[in-house]
Amino acid sequence: MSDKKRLTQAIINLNEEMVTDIVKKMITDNVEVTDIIDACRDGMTAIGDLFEKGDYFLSEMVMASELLTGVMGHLKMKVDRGPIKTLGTVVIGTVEGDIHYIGKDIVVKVLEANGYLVVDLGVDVSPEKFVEAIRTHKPKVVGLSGLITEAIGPMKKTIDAIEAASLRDKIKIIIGGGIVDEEICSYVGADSWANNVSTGLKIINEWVGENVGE
Amino acid sequence: MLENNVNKILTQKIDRIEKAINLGKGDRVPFCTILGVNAFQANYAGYSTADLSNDPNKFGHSKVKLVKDFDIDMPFGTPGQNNTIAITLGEDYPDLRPSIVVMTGRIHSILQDKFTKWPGQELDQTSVPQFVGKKFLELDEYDEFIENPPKFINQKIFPRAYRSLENTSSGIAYGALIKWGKELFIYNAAMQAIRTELRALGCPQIITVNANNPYDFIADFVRDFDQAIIDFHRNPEKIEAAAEAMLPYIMRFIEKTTNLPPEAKKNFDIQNPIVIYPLHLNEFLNRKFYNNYYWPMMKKLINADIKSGRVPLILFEGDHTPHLETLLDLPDGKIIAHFERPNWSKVVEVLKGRQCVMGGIPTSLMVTGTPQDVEEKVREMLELFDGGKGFILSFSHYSLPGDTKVENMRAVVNSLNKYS
Repeated sequence: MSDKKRLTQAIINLNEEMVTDIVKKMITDNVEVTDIIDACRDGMTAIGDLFEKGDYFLSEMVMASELLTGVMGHLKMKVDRGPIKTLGTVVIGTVEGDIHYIGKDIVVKVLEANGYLVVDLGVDVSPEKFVEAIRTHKPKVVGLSGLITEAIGPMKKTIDAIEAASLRDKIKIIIGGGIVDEEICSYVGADSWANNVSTGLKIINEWVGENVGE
Repeated sequence: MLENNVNKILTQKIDRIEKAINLGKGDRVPFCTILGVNAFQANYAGYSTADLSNDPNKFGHSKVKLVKDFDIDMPFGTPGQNNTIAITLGEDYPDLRPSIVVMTGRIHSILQDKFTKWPGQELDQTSVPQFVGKKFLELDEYDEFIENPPKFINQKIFPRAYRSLENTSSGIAYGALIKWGKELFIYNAAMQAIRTELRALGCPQIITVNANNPYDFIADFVRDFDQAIIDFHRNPEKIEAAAEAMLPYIMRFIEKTTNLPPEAKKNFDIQNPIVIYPLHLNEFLNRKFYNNYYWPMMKKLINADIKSGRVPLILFEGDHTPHLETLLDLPDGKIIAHFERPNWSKVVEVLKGRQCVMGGIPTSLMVTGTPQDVEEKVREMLELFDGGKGFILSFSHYSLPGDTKVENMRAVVNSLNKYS
């Protein structure tokens, strides 16, 4: 089995020791960073499928995200040597008034592993900051995260502000978090919603496949 | 005449609640809310969330107004967040129980804790208090914690968690402790006044205590949430031993808080105390972690409650569907199981006629829906439980957003009266 396939399998199995050993070997062997990231992405895709089937839980997503942080740490020096081609930019943040980050952070790691350039605005992000970030980074997709029920209002306020800034038709907006559903999606004016990372990734991949914002 | 009327309402409500717990139905399905500081309650009573966070009397006034206007049978909730890390202080000073584990906006400003954020302080005036958690124990300190949790908490966690106690021999620290005590006194007096007011409306008073699964205690107050999950993967024996070490303190806290002397018990209308367990890790844990670690610990708490005549009210956060069947381990009719966003047909299949089930109205519907939508949802939920047998109607999430429509709140009660 190739190192690339072994790395994918080690990620799926959440075998931390093996992941570290293979990544170190691949770096020593001068394997392209994009190949290492591809192997991670394949692993995360398989983890997403296991999650959807109910074989994996959020505990596995958290651990996978921890593994990816480790891999990215090993790759950092290599990555700094030159730009990596990305699928597109995603601006993401937890909306104003909500300071929860665990779900958002998992999404950020998974999107990065899947080749997206992610601009993470953090938590308690005002509508103005989202608008400013959209102007600056020209993302294809904007993700609004929220855990508490009080996040519904600020999600709507943020999308209204994006609309008022005439930026709405240039981007797709997805809302995510434990509270979101179809009704909230339509109420706040988002394009789609997800309450797990694997569904969210699929939606974003579909949009990007349709060349949103280009 | 007025007193007779109050007694009639009280008897009716007690009957509703007791019958629901015993898998039956009284004159109507009970309506329960578990509300801390939330924007709807604040707006409705003409306050800000910062007002409710900082003044327990204003919180009391807003709560009584909600109970009165929307005919709430079981209004749980205190003005704030949890300060459960202080639970072991009840070991040396039993009379500090149960309020020692309460965090309000004022207590937060005194202790300067790092694990909560508050409206009017770190957050906007109209925001809600939020629990953020933080890591207060490094991996290599687990053994020290396991050996003596109160000692570790007192000596290491308090100075790390409360900025005011960073230097425990300082004037700032001594002053903060005095102010904390003073604040608890004000808080207790306000809670007593709320109970009296609610009782005058015919709202039954129940002995209630909030408690945690020790794994949630470790995740929320000791290791930080995502670190605790990573510990399940990398160091399961450490987190297990830490949870085991905390268990007796949590059990003792529940036992001592609810086991009141007869003269105090007389003030309560329902003699079986309710222990509210908000579960946090449940949705996150895979079957192995849940079945081998988390659930056995939960069962120890539940069985101790049942043995002592207490009713565990378990708040299963997130989607608890994959773990539902573990509830069949319990004897029938002994708990109240609240669900946030489960697969309801699965809940009915597994639990109907076995345990009292609570929840049903997605909190988001209160914002996005119409009164007709709410009516339809209430009707649908009651139908699922054969007209509402062994069912308590409540919201999916505990905090009502500021955009909640008043007409939707009215629709909840009206529909409940119409269909149950």
